[in-house]
Amino acid sequence: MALEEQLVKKSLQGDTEAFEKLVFQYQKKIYALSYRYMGNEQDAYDMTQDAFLKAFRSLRTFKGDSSFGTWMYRVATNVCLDELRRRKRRIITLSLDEPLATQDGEIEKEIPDPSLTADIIYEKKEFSKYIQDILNQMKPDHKTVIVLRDIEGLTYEEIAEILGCSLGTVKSRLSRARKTLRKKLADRELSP
Amino acid sequence: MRCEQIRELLSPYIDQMTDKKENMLITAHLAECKECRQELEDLEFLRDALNNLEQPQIPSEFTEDLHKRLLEERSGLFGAKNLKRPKRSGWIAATVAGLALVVGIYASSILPLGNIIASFEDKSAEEKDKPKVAIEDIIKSIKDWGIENNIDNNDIDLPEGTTADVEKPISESVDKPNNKIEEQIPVQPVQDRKVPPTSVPRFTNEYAAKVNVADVGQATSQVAQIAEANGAQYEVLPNPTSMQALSANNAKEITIKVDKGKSADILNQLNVIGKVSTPLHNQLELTKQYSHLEEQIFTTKDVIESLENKAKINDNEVKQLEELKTHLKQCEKDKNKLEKEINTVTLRLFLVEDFKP
Repeated sequence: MALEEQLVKKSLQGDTEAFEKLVFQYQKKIYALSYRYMGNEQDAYDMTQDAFLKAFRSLRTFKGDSSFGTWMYRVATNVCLDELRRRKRRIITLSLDEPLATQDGEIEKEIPDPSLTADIIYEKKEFSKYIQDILNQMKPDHKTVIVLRDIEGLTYEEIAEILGCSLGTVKSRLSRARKTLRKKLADRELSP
Repeated sequence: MRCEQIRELLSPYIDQMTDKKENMLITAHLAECKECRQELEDLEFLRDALNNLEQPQIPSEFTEDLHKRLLEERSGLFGAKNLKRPKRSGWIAATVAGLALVVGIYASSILPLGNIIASFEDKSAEEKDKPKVAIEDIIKSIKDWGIENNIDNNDIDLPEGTTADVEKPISESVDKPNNKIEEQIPVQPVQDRKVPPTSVPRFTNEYAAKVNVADVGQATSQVAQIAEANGAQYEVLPNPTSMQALSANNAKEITIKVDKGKSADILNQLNVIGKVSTPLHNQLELTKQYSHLEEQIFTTKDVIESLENKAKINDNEVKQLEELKTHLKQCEKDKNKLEKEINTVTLRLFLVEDFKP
């Protein structure tokens, strides 16, 4: 039996030590994923904790058809997207893809001036922040495929498994998401 | 093909997710269209840039925080009960510890006093003042106990009062949970579980006694005859473990394993072959081990039943089912062994000849 399978089996019996070994394998990836979804460290921390707790709680639903890692990505994606949806109900979020509705009618959103020059956006750290800033404003389903495919490097099959959709949906959604991201980056770079 | 259609394909194209036919169409179009080539370059740049983003660092307190929350979560999910399977090596250690205790107490009460330090004499004086329990009382308690607990192997139900007049059980050394889990089965969350088996106190019982005899060799064969007549298993140990026994010129240690109901008869019959000292009673509590096994059997059966009731099970579940059945068999086997231990009394006899105090 593979080590991961053994750890899952022990975790199912309430062995937290075994589960923590699984956590250790994936915590960096899940934290990075949560950070990309949530856009800040505090939320990423909370969501990562919640995702692992949820995984521990619902480990029985993990049937071993996919790897534990893929399943964990799915749990974390759901936890983050649920939280984002919950927040969306409470606050008006800026979305790059939709016009902002106000009492005075729809207005075009102003994307904050990144005040970044072409020279510094290629510095890794700054560029990461820059990309994150744009990701934060993307629609959740676009953000999800970009994060899973382009940042985390998962395959289309794994993404389809995580999102519970077809390969065709992953292809078209990713295509649209990349197009949006490209357009917004180009717009920013051109902005004064 | 129009630019719009080609651009739809560029995203899967950079991921090698387009088929041969699409690849040919894209290549042909790109050779002629500068704008689409630019779009492809941008997409590739973006993909590479995203792929190389700086990884955020997980805070150092993450592991500890999660550890605490997992423990809280577990106590909620799995209840207070620990369903770890009793570890066999733990029993052996416990039995050895138990025996050491018996032998130690026994030896200290009858150890030769001659040249031993003064403090020991003081202790001996204290011992003298203690009221001795008559052998008849012990035999009576064993007899009563045998009657009260005349239960078959499948339904053991010791009344709680049976331990009232004996030494404190040494269960503490036995029941410490092992950190390492050997083999376990999935456990349903507490709220989903059916009523688990109830645990009643269960013990093994051992009596140790010294028998002063005229001839150890002859006494040994007499003891063997008595044991056989009572259908008991016996074993003559080549080297007596008791310090007291070692101090005698000639000594033998014999252990007899006998059904609860017959132990008192054997002790009575031993009076014929020599002077039997007041037996020391020791108990090893097996309640937790027994109820753990009951729980394991109960839960395993439950999981097996739910798997067997499923309309369709996958290969993993078939494998799991086999493992669970093997596990169940082993648990039942262990439980039977344990029941045998519980229903048996061990008499540890030290036959001594020419005892020199």
